[in-house]
Order: sequence, then structure tokens, then C-alpha cells
Amino acid sequence: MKTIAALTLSSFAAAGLFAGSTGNVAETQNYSIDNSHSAVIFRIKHLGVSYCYGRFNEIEGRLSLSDSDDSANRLEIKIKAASIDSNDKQRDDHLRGPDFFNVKQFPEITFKSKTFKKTAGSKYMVTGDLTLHGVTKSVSVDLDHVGSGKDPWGGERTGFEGTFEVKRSEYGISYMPGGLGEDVRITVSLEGVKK
Amino acid sequence: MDSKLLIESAAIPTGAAAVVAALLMWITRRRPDAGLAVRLGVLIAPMAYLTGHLNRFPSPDWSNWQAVDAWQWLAPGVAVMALAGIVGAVWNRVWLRLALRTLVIAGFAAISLQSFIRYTWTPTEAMSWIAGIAIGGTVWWQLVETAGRSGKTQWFALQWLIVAVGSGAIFLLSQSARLLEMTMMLGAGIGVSLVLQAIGRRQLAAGLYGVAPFVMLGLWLNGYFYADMAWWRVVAPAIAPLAGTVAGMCVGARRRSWLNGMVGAIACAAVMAGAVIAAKLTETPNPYGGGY
Repeated sequence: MKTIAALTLSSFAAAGLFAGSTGNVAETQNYSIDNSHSAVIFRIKHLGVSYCYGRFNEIEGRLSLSDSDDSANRLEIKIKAASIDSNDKQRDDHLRGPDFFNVKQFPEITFKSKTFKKTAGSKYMVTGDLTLHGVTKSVSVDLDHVGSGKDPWGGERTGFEGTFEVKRSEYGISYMPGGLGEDVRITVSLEGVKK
Repeated sequence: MDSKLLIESAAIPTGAAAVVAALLMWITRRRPDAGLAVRLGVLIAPMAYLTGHLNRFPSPDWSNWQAVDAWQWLAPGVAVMALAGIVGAVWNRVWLRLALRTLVIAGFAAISLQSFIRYTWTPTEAMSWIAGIAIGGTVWWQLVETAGRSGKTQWFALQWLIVAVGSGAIFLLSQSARLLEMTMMLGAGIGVSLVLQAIGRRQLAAGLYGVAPFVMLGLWLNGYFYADMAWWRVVAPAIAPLAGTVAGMCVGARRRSWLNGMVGAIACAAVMAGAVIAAKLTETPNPYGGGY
């Protein structure tokens, strides 16, 4: 009798564990960032009179999303600093050099989430380490889950967008304080393709 | 480009160099051509550079040393080189000077090119680059110093000022205003040395050979590796003072004659002008015209 009870219990336990593990696998969706449908754009004040916009053209990364378990959510982004594009080749060369991003020394801008939680409806809050110009600092970004759905080629996609500000001098990019503002607003728009 | 910042980059270092030069002139007033104090002329250029650097650029977080911009390492490099200059002034031995210079250049290259060592080069390539820069830099330094101190190069300080001004222009045309500013800081020290030479304090002025070549070498390394400058943009300024010396010798003028100095300065200026014009002609065009 004891043997049957033990077998029954262990069967239930095993089934539960199995169900739990398959449940997590099924719920956690993994995406890779689609560079051609994602954007990282920034704006900075120029001479105190206007905002100048630019973008980074080479983005890669991955996104994991779980419907039921926020701790399974992940966001990792890697941006090639040399892909900066401010719509002016000469200025881009300057931005890549030692005066600003120093891309030969600091080739990548990265973000790695530490927490990534749903706050309400389509709203998420992601907090993580932003490494820019070799300096790593924690940033929090409100993300809007724009949507999820199937694409015409049979794949599944999801998208987020968020905006945050950094002080460039905190990342050691302090050149031309008179001509360029200290605060840089960064907008991240990501589209992920399900793996 | 903020002209106020550029003036600040030259005026404050000039003041600092002038104070050190005046102090050394007063100390050496009885023996203007010999002695330990005269050899301490090596402190004039680093004082100008360090004052300018510390005034203009905020100190980085040195504890997070891998996040420090390569150009920032020039300041501690200059401080170490100034100390090495004092050691070389006290123990005036050629082998000691060469050894200290090789070590400091190797250390500076290893730390300021760390991103290449980590991401780009194989260990063999890294060793080759560091050794090549250290040995090549020391040999070049010794050549220009020997030529300058030999007396065959009249107005050597003028040649170095031409090199600094030309290099600054090339840095600007290579989209690196910061390296231009740093060149101006050194240029301030060289300018004070030129004044010393003009008033007959040649030995004190020759102190610029203690650190100025190191600063230029550091700036050219930063320009080549981090500002994407073509090799000729850094090689041309490096050979300019040697061209000046060779031209002066070829003229066959008497040692320390005005003709020797003039021909040397013209030859040096010609090399620099050629490099600046070539840099201007190959500058990335701005499709929208005007400043950005």
C-alpha cells in the first residue's frame, strides 16, 4: 500500500514538475531584435536653440517575455557605436572620434536588463545596466508594449518603445558643453522576431 | 569650435610655463649654460601641458581605468615623463634616459591602446605594436634631440612650434578638436621655450626635448588609432623637425647662424604645410556646407 502511495505521489510530483517546466518554456517567448525594424534615436540640444536628432543604425539583441513570470523577462541590446548617423558625414566622423564616443576604444553600447516588469496594461518598466563610452550606469525605462502578432511569412513578432534621458557627462562624454546640451533623450523602438 | 576654449587652452598653459621659466632663469642667472638647474628646463613643457589638461578636462574615474579615454592617459604619462626628466637631469646618463623613455612610452602605449589589445590584436601583434612604438619612439626622440642639441639646428624651438601648430591643424581637419586643444597646451610650453631661445637661454630652452616629443608622440598615437587619421598625417609631422635639421646642415652654414636657422625652419614648415594642405584636400566633405 505504502509503495503504491509513494509511486502515486512521485508520479504526481513528476507530472507537476514536468507540467511546470513545459509551462515556463511555453510561456516564455524568446525573440531576437530585428535591426531593420528597430531604432535607437537620440536628441540633444544644439546651441540652446534647437534639438538635433541622430540614430544608431546597427542594433542587435534579444528579448524574452513571459506572460506569467516577470522574473523570466529579459532584454539585452548591443549597439555598434560606429553606426552613429546624424545625417552629416563630417559630424559623424567627429562623433566617432576621441571628442565624443571614441568608438575605436569603446566599440559597443550595451544594455542588459536586471528587472523587466509589467506595470499596467501594455506598460512595462525595465531597469538595467547601460554601458556607454565604457561607463556602466543603471537606468530605468518605461516601455510601451506596442503589440504582438504574426507576420506575413509565418513568424511571430512583438514590439516595444520607450524613452529615457541620460546626462552625457556622467558617461564621460563632456566635450563642447557650450554648443551641445547635457541631457540626451534616447528613444528605443524594438521589434523582436520569435526564435 | 569654441574659440574661447581654444584661447583658454593656450593662455593658461603659457602663463604656467612662463612662471616656471622665469623661476629657472632666476635660479640659473649665474650659470646659464650648465648645471642641474639648467637641465630642469625639462619641466617647462610638462608644466604647460599639465596645467592646461587639468584646467580643461574633468578628471575621469581612474578606479574604472578601462573606461578612461585613451587621450586622458597622456596627463599621467606626462607627469611620469617629467619625473623621469628630473631623474635624467640629476643622473645625466644617456643609457638611463633612453631606458626611462622606452619604459614610459611602452607603458603609455600598452595602457592607451588597451582596447586594441583586448579586441583587435593577437598577443603577438600586440607585443609587436607596443615594442615597435616604444623602440621606434625612443629612437626618433633621440634623433630629434641629438639634432636639436647639437647646435646644427638653430632655432629648434621654432621648428617644434611649427610642428605643434601644423599638427594641431591636422587634428582639426581630422575632426578631433580635443587633440588640437591638447596640442595647443604643449605649444604654449614650446612658445615659452622659443622666447628663452630668443633671449639666449638655449640650454634652458632645450629642456623641451625632455617631454615635448613624448606629448607629440602620444597625440599622434591617439590620432592614428582613435581618430582614424591616415598614417601620413602623423608621420609627416614626425619627420618635419628632422627635415629641418638636414636642410640646415645641407646649406652648409656656420653653426648657429641665422641662415641655418631660417633654412631649417623653412624646411620644417614646408613639410608641415604639405601635410596640412594634403589633409585639407582629403578632408571629409560636408554635403551641407558650413559648420555643423
